[in-house]
Amino acid sequence: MTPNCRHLALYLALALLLTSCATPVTRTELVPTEEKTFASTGKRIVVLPVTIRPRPKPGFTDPAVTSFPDADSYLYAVVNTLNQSGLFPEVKTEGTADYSLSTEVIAERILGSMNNVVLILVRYELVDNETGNTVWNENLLSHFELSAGDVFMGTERIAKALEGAVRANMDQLDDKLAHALAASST
Amino acid sequence: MLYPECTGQIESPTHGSSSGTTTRNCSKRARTQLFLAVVVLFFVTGPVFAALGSPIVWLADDVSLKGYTQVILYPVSNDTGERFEFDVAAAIADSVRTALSEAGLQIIDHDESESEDDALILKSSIVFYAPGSVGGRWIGMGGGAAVCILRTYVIAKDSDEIMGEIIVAKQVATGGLFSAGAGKSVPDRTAREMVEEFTALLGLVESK
Repeated sequence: MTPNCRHLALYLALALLLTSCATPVTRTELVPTEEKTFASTGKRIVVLPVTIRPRPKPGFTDPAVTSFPDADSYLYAVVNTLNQSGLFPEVKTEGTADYSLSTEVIAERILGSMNNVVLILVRYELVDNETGNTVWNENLLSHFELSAGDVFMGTERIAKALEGAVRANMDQLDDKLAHALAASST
Repeated sequence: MLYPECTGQIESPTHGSSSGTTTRNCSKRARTQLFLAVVVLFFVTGPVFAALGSPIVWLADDVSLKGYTQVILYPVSNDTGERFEFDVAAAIADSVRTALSEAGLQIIDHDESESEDDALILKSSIVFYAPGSVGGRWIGMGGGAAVCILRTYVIAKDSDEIMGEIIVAKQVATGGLFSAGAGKSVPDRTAREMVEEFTALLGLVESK
């Protein structure tokens, strides 16, 4: 093998190694780790399928490896966050229940290159299925920042920042739900 | 030395000579290395710029803001939990006021009582702000990026309901010394872009 080929092979291997680090978001990382236990409402809730608004087309420098969480990943995050909160004795994704929660991911934005800030805006609506009234609806905005010092590889950093932003959103969700349910019961 | 055979080969390639062939090889190697360096860098840096920083505009179902001409301005709040070298919230409030005024809208302070019922309330808050550093921006790659994220609620005065919201995120990630002052210009650009989006919702200008 000539020196040329050796160096070419070395660089290609390095590029491939770096590319392979482009891990998608991990579902379990979308759920807040801090355990918050709220008083149970004694009511069941059904979490409806998550809808995601069309995302902007990737720009020239946005590699296709950027992997935004899909609708199922968001659904997983919402269901597990609610399960963890203790607000509802039963959290399900189909069938009937006392409440239904709809989730719409309005937008996700990624800023920066070596330091990344990820923004996520999600709209939630909680409906009392018995009355058909909306108990609570709100757009929750969350963000998460990571630098190259925290996670060196860009694609991995974006995935981690996305996970962090979703986690921050879920963290607000159970607080807001608990507050809204407490207000509606008084 | 990485390529000892490249030493001293600075002439243009000469067809048929051994020195020309070596120079071509070196040049090819340099190009390959440059290309691979760019590829590697591409994966080290995160996805950047382009469509990813575009404003987020949300309107409640069946809501139109066309026809409104009066705006009640609330002070801009700093929701970052941090204090900065200068009053970023006040600077944004000034830029918003100026841009609204330039757009020909009637501006009323939130503590004045002369507004009509069909006025719109604008409440803005700074979600994230980082002044960045000139040194980091000189190196490039967004290391010292100045970033500002502004969230603005559009509220109907008569019903007190949120009719829409506008989230604008701006950054200056490169430029070195030419980007000196980006820490102050980014909040201004953020405020002005928010007003652009707002006036587009009012039907006064076309959305970008």
